[in-house]
Amino acid sequence: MKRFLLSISLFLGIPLVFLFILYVVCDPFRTIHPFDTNNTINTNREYQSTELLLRNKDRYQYNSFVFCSSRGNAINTYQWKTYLNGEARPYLFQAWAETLSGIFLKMNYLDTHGFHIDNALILIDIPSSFSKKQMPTESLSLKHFIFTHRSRVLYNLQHFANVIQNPKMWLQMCEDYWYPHVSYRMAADTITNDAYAANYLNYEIMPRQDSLCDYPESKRDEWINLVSQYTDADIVESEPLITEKLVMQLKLMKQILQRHNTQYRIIITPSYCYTNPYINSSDLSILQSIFGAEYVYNYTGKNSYTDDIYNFSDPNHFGRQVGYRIIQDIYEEK
Amino acid sequence: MLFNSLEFAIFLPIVFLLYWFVFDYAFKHSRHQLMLQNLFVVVVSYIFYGWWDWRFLFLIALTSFLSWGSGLLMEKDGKYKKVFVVVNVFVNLLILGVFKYYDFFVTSFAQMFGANPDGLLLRIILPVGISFYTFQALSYSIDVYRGRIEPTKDIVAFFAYVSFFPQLVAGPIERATNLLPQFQKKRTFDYDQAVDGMRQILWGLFKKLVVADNCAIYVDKVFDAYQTYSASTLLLAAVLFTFQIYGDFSGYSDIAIGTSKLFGIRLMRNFNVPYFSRNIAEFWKRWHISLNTWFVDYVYIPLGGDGRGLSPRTISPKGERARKMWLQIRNTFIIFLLSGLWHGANWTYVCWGLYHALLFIPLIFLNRAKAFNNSVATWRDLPRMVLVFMLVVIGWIIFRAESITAAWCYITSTINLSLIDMPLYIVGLKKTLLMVVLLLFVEWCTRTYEHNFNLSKIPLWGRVCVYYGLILIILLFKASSQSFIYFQF
Repeated sequence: MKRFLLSISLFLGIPLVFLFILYVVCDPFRTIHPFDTNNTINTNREYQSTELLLRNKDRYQYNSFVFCSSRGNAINTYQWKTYLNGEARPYLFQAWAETLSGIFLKMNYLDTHGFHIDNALILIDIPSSFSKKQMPTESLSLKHFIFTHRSRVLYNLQHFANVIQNPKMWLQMCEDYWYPHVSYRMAADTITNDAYAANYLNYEIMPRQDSLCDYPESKRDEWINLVSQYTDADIVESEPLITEKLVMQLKLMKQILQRHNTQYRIIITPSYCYTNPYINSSDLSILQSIFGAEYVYNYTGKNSYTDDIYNFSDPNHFGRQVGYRIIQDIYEEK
Repeated sequence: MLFNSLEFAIFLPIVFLLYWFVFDYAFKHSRHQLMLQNLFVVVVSYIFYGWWDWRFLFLIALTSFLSWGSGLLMEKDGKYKKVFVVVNVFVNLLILGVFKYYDFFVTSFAQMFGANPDGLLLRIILPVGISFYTFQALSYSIDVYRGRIEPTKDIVAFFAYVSFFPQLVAGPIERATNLLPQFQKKRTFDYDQAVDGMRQILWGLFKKLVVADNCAIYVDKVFDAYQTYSASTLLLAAVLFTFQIYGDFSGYSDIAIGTSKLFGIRLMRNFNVPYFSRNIAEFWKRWHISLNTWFVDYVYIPLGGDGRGLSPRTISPKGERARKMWLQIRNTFIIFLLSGLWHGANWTYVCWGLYHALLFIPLIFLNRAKAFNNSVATWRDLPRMVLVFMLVVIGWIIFRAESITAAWCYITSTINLSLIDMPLYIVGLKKTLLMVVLLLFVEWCTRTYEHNFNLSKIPLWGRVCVYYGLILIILLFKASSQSFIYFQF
């Protein structure tokens, strides 16, 4: 028995210890070593958003927040600020694959930790915002430990467990560590946390020919061919996605917003036509009844944005020009 | 709890350590050591099963108790032996029938007479593995009745025999004559057996996570909308389903057998390279061996088998051969029909069983059913193997289809000129085909071994490299995890 346990321990232990050392040294999610000011966007965007907020909060006194998933890449907080009062200090509180439950956790954190939420922009996308998965385990969307009340050690162990299961990541983290290539990465504003592609650093409206810039060159034609197969008839209404538990969380969110006397807008974001189902009418009614119909802006289904392929950097992400126009729409009440 | 889940990865080492260090080593001077260790097996097996749905634990307990009790009653009152075994078989089959077949038969009868069955349906969810543990429990009481095994008074050992977690939900369906005695004597840890068990678990995980789950992506896509694809795509999907179901089920069996070895228990082999069979009879000797031998022992032979057991006085010399042949055909149809029904409450399974029975008939006429009993395939047998494989593929189309009509449409759609078109390509298809080839290669090279990942002839450094290589392949090529197909049976 001892021989068996020793053999198994050595067989599994040696590579595990080696990988663990590699993981600690390379720190692929930038979650072990102290958070630095490097503006390269992390694999786990929520960690970066939260850490940057904690580091900057005293200096910049943020009081306006954009709560969003990756679709918030198209939101320019400098543009948003022009529609808010002069005291507004915006921050893009982003997490990959953000859910409404995740937004509630963030809002609750801000509420209980002395932040003022004077303005809020909440971006919803279908179906991921309504995901029932409260605590995702994937490294991409693993919840920051300040929201889940788990320890930093457990948080990192979950990341490490994900790394163990993905041998491609073993090489990737070594390459990132020894030969970092920032050029293909996205970058983030170190004050507002705005996200943008590293090769497109100005805040001008994206020229038409560049709207597919985030999409890999080799995949562009493939995607254009794919989307051309779909017609308006393929756009349907989504299934009802709001659960009773989520309704409770939405009501609590509304209470927080009321407490802070927040000026808020809720945007149900567009995606390219065939991947853009209309939001379920009962879900829309729930959102409107809780937050007020005049504050909920619905861009799902077929509309002027979703017709044009060049408005999207991929089927699920609209470009910055669309983000710019949506902000214009809702604040200028076109 | 699934073998390919994180829960099981935590559960297994804990159970293993407690089993050997607490319930074996710590209690080694206790006269109840064996009973406590068996009780531990029962408890962890019930936890394993209850992880899925604890409400159905009572069914396993009831089935176990009925079979154990019937054994004792048969011993106590030999006069009513037959009554006790019949009652036990009847009650167990009744439970199986209610939970698995009631809705199916009510719906079928109602449809036959154009009635609406809605008010009569029970709509009970199918308890996982009910067919497996019911058959295992039945084998005990039938064997006691036949005098093949002494009835046991040790209820804990018997409950452990029925509920032993590695094979509880998807087999192999063990016989009391093999498994029960192992729970009645002290187990000793055997290093070589445990290492071999780990190897078998690793190979089972490869079959399930890499081969079966990757094949499933293509298969599900095509079978869900088969009307829209070319014949070549349909054929490729059918072939991939053939490997999916094999990887899924034999992978599960390998993990179950390997896990049992860690606990000092030897389970019977359930698959023996079935896709290298040279006729359909050989295929059925190599596929789901535990179920097929169960049907042979408890149905086919009691029905007269192939007629060899008949007394010469009951058969006139003139009609002897014809009568034997008739018996063999009738009994073959019966066991394949039952085998089909065992797999599920759907006419497609019945049809699949009958299809295989039909494939058997030429072998009975030609007296070739046992032609390959004592040999293994060589390269010269390739044409035969390919032919049998293609016949099996057709069977799997029937098995996988939603209905008999869908199966018929699927099969007829594979016979047209689009068979020469390039099949549908999806991301990951090349990887899937490569893994299937790897599976076939390893199984071909090790077809005479006890299991296909027996590396005992390779030096240590080579073995370690192969283990790490296979783990790397599993991690790199595993598809998103799916449940085991045979759980539904």
